[in-house]
Amino acid sequence: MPLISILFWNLNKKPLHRSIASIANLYGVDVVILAECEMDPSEVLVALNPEHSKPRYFFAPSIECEKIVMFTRFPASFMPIVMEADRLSIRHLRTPEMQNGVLLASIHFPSKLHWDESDQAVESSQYSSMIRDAEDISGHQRTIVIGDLNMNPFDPGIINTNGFHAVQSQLIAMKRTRTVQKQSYAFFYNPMWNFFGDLSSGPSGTFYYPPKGHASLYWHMFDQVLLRPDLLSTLNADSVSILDSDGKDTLLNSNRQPDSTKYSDHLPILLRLEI
Amino acid sequence: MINLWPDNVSKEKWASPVSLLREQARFLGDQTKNLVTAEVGTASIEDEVFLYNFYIVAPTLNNYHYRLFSIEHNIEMYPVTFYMDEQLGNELNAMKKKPSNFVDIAAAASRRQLTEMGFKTNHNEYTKRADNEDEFIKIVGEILKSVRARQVISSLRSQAHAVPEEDIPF
Repeated sequence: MPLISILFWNLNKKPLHRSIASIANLYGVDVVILAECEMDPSEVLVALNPEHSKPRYFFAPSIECEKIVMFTRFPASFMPIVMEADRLSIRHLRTPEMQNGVLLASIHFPSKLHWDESDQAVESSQYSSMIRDAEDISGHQRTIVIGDLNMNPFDPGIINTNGFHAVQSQLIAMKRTRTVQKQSYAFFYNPMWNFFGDLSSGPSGTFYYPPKGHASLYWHMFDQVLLRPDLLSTLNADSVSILDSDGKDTLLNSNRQPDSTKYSDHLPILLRLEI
Repeated sequence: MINLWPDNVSKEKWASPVSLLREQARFLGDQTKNLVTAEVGTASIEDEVFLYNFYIVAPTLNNYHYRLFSIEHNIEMYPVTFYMDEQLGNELNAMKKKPSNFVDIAAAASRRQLTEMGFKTNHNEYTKRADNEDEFIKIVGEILKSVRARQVISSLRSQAHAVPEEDIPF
């Protein structure tokens, strides 16, 4: 089965086109999804398609989603838009090599700087509803959510039944739904739980925020991948990674935290699935 | 009930004009790092008449679409009528002809739809005709190599990736 590789990176408005191209080339990325990208898309496209080689990447224009920019290693017609909002783009991805298509929901969720936990929980129910509508339109639930959710995996917006309802155990997710007060809610699986702490390989999160008060997590897992159970058979131990290098330079500073001076304050995440 | 269709009904395949155009559309991105691409859109299929538009597209410029030419044919595929604007028509020594009523209706509907979607449209006052595949390929080649096509592509290419003044060496 073909391997589909999807990269997401919140660039923190930095001109990181060279690093993006380096990562895309190193991992053979099929879909590049960027948030807080202030570069002109043509700048990124030229970096992704170097001189003296056949261009491989296409820009996939959005209609309503202004917060996310996408490039694909195939014509954008293989990833038509199903539904969009300002911070959400849901596309149906199916290349000729893929047996079945998938829904790819890319998100740059409102941040905790401006919204509190309650605001985020309410908003996540809106996004979750749109994703279900897109699944009804597409006739399947092979759905990937990827992006900067600006919430941790344990935050209410991620775990609530009317939010993303994402759980840390594949066994639980494979039950597909849970019923609460006679209402059934579909699960997502959240592989990002596996990256917390430093006993797992790689960085302990995707975003580092030093403590201001008495309680602080230091590392946050704002950039996440969520998968519907129908895609769990395509998952293995290497399917999801948090990248700490662009292949040429480290993205971390001397304290092993995201180097927000030279690069972004977020680390990129990479998803690879055999679909 | 026995099957009355001939055994080879689906085996005979011809390269349709639209498939030839789609192949050519794919080549443009290769030469422009996909900053400028080409697309073939189905304008209408009605009463056995097929109408397609060939667009030059700048995805990074708000997905700007420029309709370079259109083709029309019926179920037999040939002859094919090409429709193009005045500048391209003069360059190719095309005939100035008022389009058929059907094309007027289809083009008008297409223009309204495209305008609503933010696409730029132009008029199809000039025509050329291809009676067979060889003539079709010849005319497509003339159009794609035309000064008009090159002007449009060059303009979109330079706007799509504007070079800052300090990078220009003179």
